[in-house]
Amino acid sequence: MDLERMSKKTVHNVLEEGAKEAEAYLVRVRSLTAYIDDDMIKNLEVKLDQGLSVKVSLNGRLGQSSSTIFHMRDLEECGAKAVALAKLSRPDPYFKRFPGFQHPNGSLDVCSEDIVNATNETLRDKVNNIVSAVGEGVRIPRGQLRVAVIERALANSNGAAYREIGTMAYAHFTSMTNGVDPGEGCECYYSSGLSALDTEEMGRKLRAKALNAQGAKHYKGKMTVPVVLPPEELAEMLLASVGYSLDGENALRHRSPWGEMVEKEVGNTLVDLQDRPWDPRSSLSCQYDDEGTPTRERPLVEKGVLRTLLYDAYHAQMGGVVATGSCMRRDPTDALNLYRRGSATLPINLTWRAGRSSLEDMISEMKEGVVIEKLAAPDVNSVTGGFALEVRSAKYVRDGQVEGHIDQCLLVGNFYQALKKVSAVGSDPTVHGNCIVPSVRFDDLEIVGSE
Amino acid sequence: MMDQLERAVERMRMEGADFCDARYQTITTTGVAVVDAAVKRISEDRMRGACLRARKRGSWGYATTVDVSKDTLLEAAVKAVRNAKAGNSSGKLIPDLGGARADLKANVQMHPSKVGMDERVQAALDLDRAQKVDPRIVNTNSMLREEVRHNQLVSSHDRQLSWEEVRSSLMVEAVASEAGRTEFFYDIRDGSKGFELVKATDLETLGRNTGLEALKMLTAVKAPSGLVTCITDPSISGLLAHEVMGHASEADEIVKRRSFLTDMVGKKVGSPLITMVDDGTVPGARGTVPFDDEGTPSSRTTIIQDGVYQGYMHSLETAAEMGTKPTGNGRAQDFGRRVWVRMTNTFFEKGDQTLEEMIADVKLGVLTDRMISGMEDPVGGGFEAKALRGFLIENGQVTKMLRSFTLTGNALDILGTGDAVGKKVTLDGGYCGKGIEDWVPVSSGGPHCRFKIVLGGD
Repeated sequence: MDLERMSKKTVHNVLEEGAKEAEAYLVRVRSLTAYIDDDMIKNLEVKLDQGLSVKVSLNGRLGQSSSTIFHMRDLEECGAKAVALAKLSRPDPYFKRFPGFQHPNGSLDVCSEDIVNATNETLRDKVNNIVSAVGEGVRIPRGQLRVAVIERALANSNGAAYREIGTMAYAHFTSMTNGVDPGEGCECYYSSGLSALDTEEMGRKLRAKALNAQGAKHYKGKMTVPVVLPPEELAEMLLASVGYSLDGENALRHRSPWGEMVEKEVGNTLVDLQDRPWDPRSSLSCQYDDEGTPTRERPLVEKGVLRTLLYDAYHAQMGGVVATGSCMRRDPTDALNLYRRGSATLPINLTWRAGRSSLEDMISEMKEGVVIEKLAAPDVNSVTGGFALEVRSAKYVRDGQVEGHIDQCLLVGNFYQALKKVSAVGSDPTVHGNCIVPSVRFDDLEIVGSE
Repeated sequence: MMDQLERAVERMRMEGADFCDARYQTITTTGVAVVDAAVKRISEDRMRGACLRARKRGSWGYATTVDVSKDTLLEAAVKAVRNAKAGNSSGKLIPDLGGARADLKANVQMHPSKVGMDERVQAALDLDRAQKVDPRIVNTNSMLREEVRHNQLVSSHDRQLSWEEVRSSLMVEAVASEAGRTEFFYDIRDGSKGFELVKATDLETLGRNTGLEALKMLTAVKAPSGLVTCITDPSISGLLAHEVMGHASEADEIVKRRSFLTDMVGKKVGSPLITMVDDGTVPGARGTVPFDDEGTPSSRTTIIQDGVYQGYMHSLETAAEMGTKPTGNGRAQDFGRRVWVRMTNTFFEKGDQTLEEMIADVKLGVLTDRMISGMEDPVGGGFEAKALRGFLIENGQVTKMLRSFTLTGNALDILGTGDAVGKKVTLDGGYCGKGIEDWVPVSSGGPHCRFKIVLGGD
């Protein structure tokens, strides 16, 4: 039976069991992964997965259950379990109903033929190309290339129903020089297809980053300078801070720094953020979010002014506002077990409008500064915005020239304050997870060495 | 199911696998989440499926499926061998360590299947309500989670094993806000336990203390930056053990010569006060398992003894590569993920000092209190940990509370400065990822330890 029919049948079954409202979300996945271990293909995997999640309301009491689907009776048992749990819950003070049917805001195709037709041989050839492109003296200790075809369907008792098929490609490779005190590099690829994966270019970058890191000097001392964050590090920091602050639930629960900031300044004029859920480059792009609300392009921060927060259907009801199509259950790196993941309120594709500066321009404008290549873990305290991050490799810039590479120091600052000191936005937008962002230069961040 | 797994293993052997195994797993997770005194989520999640794994030379082929009908499993067996043959890694044959049979139930007092959901909901509500100690507590969160795993494994080395794992956790987090400043505090109870974990917890006290500590954090000041004397609490001691020394002691990193601890057996890596182990047999700890996901019994591996490096954790593959015995560290997140070398319960062993004695000796330093996160660095041996908060120590006295800060430095440099180790070991549970995914339940910890570490206040 197809997923769409199964989703409607599940909702029907659950209403028969006594639920007043019901939602069924079903996912079917075919995933292939090739793992590299020391330049060689170590594992090749093929995975088939399907499952469902059922949410019900029983006179305002909510219950939720999920299950893999093997037999059709799994649908019935999962629905019955959700009803049984709802009976044991307490009345929810905010839930009114699941979203009703709404037409999508256009048509979107994020199903890439090169992934639909991919085999393990396709993946094997691409990872071998990457390894070859890295060249002598640098190796790939660990890498993986994953593709998946993801079919998802949703139906609820309020008439919402959709079925979408999408594709994802994800690669993560590390590189490493040989010998004592080796340098490491890392490159990622996120997309809805394989066509943009330039294996030669990825190999060259992996080589350059490992060699740069090997030659890095341990930084000693302290400086307050402009710092350029590359897309992959900026994306993670942006999601941890801005992603958290945009979540309407956090505002309603008084834990968001941006809870009272709508139509107020949260950054300088170079901060221009949108949600672009229809961007064809991203595997997360979709017509409907993961609870059946149509998605659309939405300005989030315009020239530094916060325009809106994001709400899933539940928290929109809690706040008395309209849901923004921001319920997310999917993951840009992995397609397994999506049915059992909890939902989060997030931009589908958090996009920082690209600027005109090349990385070379940004470097040439700096009297003294740092261009980050790799942070140990680009995390930010979501509530306060504070961060102190270990720099694994960075370019040190003096008088507009790269003078060398540094490591073993901390990048210290506050991300919410840093948004008010953006001095350049790059012209190199890159898809990284839930984000499409360029390199961005922030003034007055601290670099603290070990002595 | 064991019969079907046996047939799948037989098919993989016929197809030419040098070694193969078949795992079937069911995982049932029950959760109750309460936010701001209202039940936000009450759920039960079930997943089940099979993983067929074949090895040819040094390459593995995997095929996983949630359709466990006889024909599908046999098809998956063929795919697994085909995938293994498509790889190009070289490797040694996995030696046959002999057959084994077992059928084990989890050793818990109150199995989750015997506990009513209503009791769980009430516990989460009680815990949440107790946090609201002051109007400045603007948000309260409580979560109770239980997981039951049933594992069945058949291997081509005549292993037929069936075992159960049960884990429970209780999480509480309060957010305090005043005059535009917002801070949070959390606490967790967890382990390979059933509902006795909740029964043994004074929910009122746990919730209330969490709320009170969140309020205190509103007055915390910025931590000093630079190299300071630092007394790490058990959670930060555990991060140092787990993230740096632990990940770098996973033998797959050694085989690849990717770890900074390659060729370090017998060498001094820390002060003589430092002893560190990975022990998958600690009763009730979150990372405890009777067998790893390859069917090897879990064990205790000494990694550092009195400051001298001792050795590595192994899967079947790395033990074969290095000519030694497997240690029961071949683990997988679930049936859909690969098996590789993973930790269980990783910790520093106890010393002989009380915390008060350790503080009394410090002229100027910092005492950490709780972790937020940590990051592995098996190549460089760098340590990075984020502490939720800490306390300034001045002239042997704790003076001020410090807000969140980062600890960093070279792990061997840090371990070499260890000059005091506390008497009491505490383990914190969580999930450990390797690289970027593959999350397995573990614990890490140790006693309070005194080191010199670089701090950066954020």
